[in-house]
Amino acid sequence: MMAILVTVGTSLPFDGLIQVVDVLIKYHMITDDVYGQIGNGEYIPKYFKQYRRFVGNMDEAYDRVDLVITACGAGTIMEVAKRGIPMIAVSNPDITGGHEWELVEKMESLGHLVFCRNYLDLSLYLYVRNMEFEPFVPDKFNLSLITDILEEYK
Amino acid sequence: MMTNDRCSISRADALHVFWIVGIGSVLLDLDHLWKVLGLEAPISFTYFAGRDFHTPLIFIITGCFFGIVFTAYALRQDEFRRFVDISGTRAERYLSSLHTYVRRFDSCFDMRRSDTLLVSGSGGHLKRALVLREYFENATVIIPYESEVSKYKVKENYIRVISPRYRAKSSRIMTVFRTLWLFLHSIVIVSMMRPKLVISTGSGLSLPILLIAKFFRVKTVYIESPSRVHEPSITGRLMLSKTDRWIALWKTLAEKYGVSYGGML
Repeated sequence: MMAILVTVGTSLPFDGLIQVVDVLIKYHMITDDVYGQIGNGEYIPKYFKQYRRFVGNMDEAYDRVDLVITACGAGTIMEVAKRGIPMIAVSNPDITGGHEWELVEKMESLGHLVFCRNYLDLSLYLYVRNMEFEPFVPDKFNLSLITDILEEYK
Repeated sequence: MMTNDRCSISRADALHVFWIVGIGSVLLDLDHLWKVLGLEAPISFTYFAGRDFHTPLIFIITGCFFGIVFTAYALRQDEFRRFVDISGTRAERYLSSLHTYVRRFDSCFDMRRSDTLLVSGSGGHLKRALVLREYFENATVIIPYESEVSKYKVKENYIRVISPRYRAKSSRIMTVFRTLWLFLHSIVIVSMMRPKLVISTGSGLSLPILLIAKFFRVKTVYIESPSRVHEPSITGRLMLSKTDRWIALWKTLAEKYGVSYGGML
């Protein structure tokens, strides 16, 4: 039995994605346990195993799940990609401009996620849970860039 | 009140100044307005010798008086009641609503001295700011007023400010006024806290604060969001040559715009 995490982030609601996943569970397209972090959305999922509006510590959740379905939030994408968990990034049509796509397309070209451009097509992307992803190893942040300019005070 | 802090002005003092300057300047502006429109002043005060008293002066004195009364009531209700008992009257209802209004902006004036200011938005911006906070002890985080969740994530040492545009869909006209307010608020923040370094983790909120910090000759660092791979954000583009360090988190962006590459945060 696999566990799936659906997260839409805390700032913008994404009811469409939650609804689609709920329907897929209802008609047995998804038979795994689904955990949700639904943010400020108005739609309340009926078939999820468990859902919360806001999760304080997502690290524990990431350790337990085998597939993450996420809205294109930069924070979630980086955290999940670092762990090498299979991930589907779903684009939210409500976001105007959509600057997050730049990151999503970059991470997709590096092979750390699969980008679902229309949330209604989510069922076509469920093969992702059987794929294997390599963890994303970013360069360490160079803190001396910031501390250098403080040296004038010393 | 605060002995070790360089910031010696207390919250009550700051509120006094705000009320007095606020009420005084509004009345002064009114006085100016009717002269600009070519009207005769509707009220004119006369001195005992029959000469005209300077009207704005009267207004400023009135403003000072009401400012002090309002502030005294808002901050020390119990002590205020000892002098004037207004319980059960309309004045009390009005002043107590004023009290909640002041309390709502409590953290605006609750400033403790700290060397580093971390200016963040909500969500991912805040997460990066909290990672940076571990390296700079006693850093204060600036978070948007609209986000309740950020307050619980930061827990301590934060200042809440009104963000110019919290949602991408929020009104554009109000953005102008909110930005102006944020400019005023950041003058108060930077001049009272006197930080050595202001670090922005790349949100629209940080633009006024970085500009004010630059005006006060404080070192500024701008760290772009990791979601920007090829092009900087609007705030980033505006701050390109204005900050002391402009750090990109992707090599492609750093090479294209000739800025420093910092690795992933």
